[in-house]
Amino acid sequence: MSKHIVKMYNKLDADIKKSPTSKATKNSGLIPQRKEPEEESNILHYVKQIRKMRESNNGTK
Amino acid sequence: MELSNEPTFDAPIPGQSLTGEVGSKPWEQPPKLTTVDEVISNYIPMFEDEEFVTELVNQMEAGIPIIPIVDILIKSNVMDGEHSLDVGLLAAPVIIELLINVAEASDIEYDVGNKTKGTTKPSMSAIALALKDVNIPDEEEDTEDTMVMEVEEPPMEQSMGLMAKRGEEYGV
Repeated sequence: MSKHIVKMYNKLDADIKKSPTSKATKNSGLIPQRKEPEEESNILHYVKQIRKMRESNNGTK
Repeated sequence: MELSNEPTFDAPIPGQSLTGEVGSKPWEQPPKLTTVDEVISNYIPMFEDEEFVTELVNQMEAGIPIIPIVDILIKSNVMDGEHSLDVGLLAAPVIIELLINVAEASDIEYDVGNKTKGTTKPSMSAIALALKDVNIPDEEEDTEDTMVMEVEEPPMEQSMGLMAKRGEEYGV
């Protein structure tokens, strides 16, 4: 399972490091495009918060 | 460790795990926590336990990468029936970050374990290739010579029968 964790963590890390881009979902057809899964965005949010907390902790040292 | 050649019959036989009653093990029950939020809020209080954190810090200080630690943590909770494996996998990055926080707060060097290390040590295959190119002929040739010298020709037997070639019977 470690391999999957590494894959996921690296992907998440890359997503965070990437500059934020607006992802507007197009609804041109009858079938709307799938949205990003909410779980992942939740995790992104958590990771960002923890990193912020760490940075502020390191800053105060 | 000494390995005995005798077969051991103490081990469970293949398929024995399937003979138990379904649902008797915690991981066969429906998981208690089903969402990522719940799973994360289950893990966060663990990092407030001083004994647990000390153990984690000791392991990280010993050089164990963070990802295998997280892997074990998730699997043990799956075994206890706390959550399913997939939700645990989704929560893994958050637990990794929490562990990094712990490591940085305690000023220890840590390895996340997500990068392939640029090894300064040559691999065994590279060593084997390099050794193949190196000439070590002297010893080998000497041994070959001695091998040749040691081989003796078997003595010729004189054929004495009726079917013997002409001249052979007289040793010509």
